[in-house]
Amino acid sequence: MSEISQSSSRPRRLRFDRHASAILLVAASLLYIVLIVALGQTRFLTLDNLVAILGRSITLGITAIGQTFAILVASIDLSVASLISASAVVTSVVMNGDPAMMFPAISAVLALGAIVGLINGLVISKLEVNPLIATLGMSLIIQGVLSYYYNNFAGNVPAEFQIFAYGAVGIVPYSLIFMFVLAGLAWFVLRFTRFGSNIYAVGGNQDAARLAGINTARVVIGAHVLCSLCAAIAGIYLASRLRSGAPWIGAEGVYDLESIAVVVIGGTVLAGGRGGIWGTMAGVIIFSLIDSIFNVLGVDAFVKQVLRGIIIVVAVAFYAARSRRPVA
Amino acid sequence: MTQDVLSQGAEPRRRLPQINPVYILVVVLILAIVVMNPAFGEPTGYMNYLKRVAALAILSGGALYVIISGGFDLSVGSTMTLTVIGSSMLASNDPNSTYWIIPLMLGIGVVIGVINGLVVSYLKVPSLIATLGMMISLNGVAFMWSGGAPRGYLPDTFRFFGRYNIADLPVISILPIAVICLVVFGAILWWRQPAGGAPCRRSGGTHSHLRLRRLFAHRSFGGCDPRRPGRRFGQYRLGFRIAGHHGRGDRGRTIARWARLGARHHRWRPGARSHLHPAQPPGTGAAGPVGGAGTHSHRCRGFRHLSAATRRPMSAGARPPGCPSQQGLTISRGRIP
Repeated sequence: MSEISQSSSRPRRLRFDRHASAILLVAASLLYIVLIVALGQTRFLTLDNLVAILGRSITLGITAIGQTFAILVASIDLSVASLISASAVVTSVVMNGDPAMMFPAISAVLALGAIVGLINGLVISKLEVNPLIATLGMSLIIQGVLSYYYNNFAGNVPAEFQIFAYGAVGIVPYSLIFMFVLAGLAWFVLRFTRFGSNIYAVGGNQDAARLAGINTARVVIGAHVLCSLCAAIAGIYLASRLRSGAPWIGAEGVYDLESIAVVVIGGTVLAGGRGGIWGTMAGVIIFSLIDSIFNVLGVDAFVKQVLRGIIIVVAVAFYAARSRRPVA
Repeated sequence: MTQDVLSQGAEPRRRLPQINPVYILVVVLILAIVVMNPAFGEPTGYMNYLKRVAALAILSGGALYVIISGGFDLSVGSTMTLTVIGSSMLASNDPNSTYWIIPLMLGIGVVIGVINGLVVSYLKVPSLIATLGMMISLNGVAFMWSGGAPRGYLPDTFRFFGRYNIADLPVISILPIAVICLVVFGAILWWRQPAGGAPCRRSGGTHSHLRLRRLFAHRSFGGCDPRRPGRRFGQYRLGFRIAGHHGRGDRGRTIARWARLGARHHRWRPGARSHLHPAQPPGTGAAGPVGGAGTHSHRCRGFRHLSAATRRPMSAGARPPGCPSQQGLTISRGRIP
């Protein structure tokens, strides 16, 4: 679809929409570099530091990749934060320091993610419950079950498993490579597979997609399963990084809302059907760049939070304000 | 919108039951609770229950306005945090301060609501993102204001609204002030609802009309009724739980308990995670968490509209603003797409 529309003469406004996340990313990077040079802190201007900036938001990145799928089908997933907590706890409890249990633990967590996504998708597409409410309910259920059984760090992961978070090729951590490979896979699915184009079709106009012969329910369910699987993987990563899982780590990181914010900043329209993975990755990097800029400037932690909220709104307003489409 | 026309032809329209299932659910839940815990059937039991749910009930009454207009407000939790912190810091145990603190906090609510509404209406930021940004910012402001640690103390004149019961009444025996506030604000919300809701749902509503109404809804959510009592009760409730509940009101102890509360939650945030809660009762037709409260009839009634209206944020933005009247029609029918 993009080839056709690109070759025909497009209105400028849509072009802008398309590249807005890249513009924001370049602006954030330039600001960072200018600030570093202006403050004379050139020690931050190294490849090591770049990798560190990217590596800071791997959990958010993995979650946001999944969230992109959910938002592209005009749905949303608020249950990712609880699912991250649940996956981290299940990972560390099942492994419990035993390297032999690594494979069963990962399988169990992925199964958990798939089941949660399946239920989310079924409730949304078959029972026609509003996605916000359906996934919020799912989130409360997961959190409730989790806090019933655990109230602190539980279990621990073996040293072999911590390689996932701490191992590196040269200076690039495995987990960072993993995130980009995952993003590449997601891009491939969205760009080159039938499922991917169905996602855009269903997100753009569900009824038209149904009339065109697409099984919309299956697409919505598929998107939610992918979203939950990504959240489960993010939980596995967090368990590996923290060496144990706790029932609050997902909620503490506000991964549900932050992942949505990142996806939207990346240019994916909350109403579905428009956007992509690389925008999301740009959004993730913008988020970590903002944090780094604040750190370099030495902004007070509380002021930082205020500015962060404002930046989220301004970044989205940056291109939403020009759009003539109605918003929600 | 075109897809509505298409879908109408494609599938038979489903008739919703005449009685909203939420009413049945509420009755069943109340009966179940009474069977399990007979004390709940006593006037004291349900009055105390109403007292406890007052904050959430009023909060969700406000959320109804925003949700009907097709938006969503995540910032209510942090608004509560901000006003709890703000009023306890400003009050500093001066009984006379209540009279200007409550209007001031209402004013903060108005300002926050207006900003949310303007950002959504004119900058066209999706309300989810706009209010998410507001939520994060307000938490930061609350931290800045308090310096990260709870300070101040609330005088009894302030806590009166959430804590005191009128005792020795016939039939109901006690009547908490909180329940009176709940009824008053519920009535105001119910009375104001046509102004905020109907134009959004009216079939002939134009898009700009809808937009204006959305601004209005955000404003009224932020300012007029819901948040203020939410705050006030939230604050009050917090005070009650932490100081009153343990039978000691002295300052040091209260702060210690607040600090402990903070330790338990890892961060001191009274309104933490409540950003999503008020959305639930309207979303579910006010079933579970606030069942039985008298002011929810409008929320229940609005349920059908809500189901459609909350669907809008997901589906409306993708399409050109072609046929707003269709959109209005859909919302008015409350058809779950």
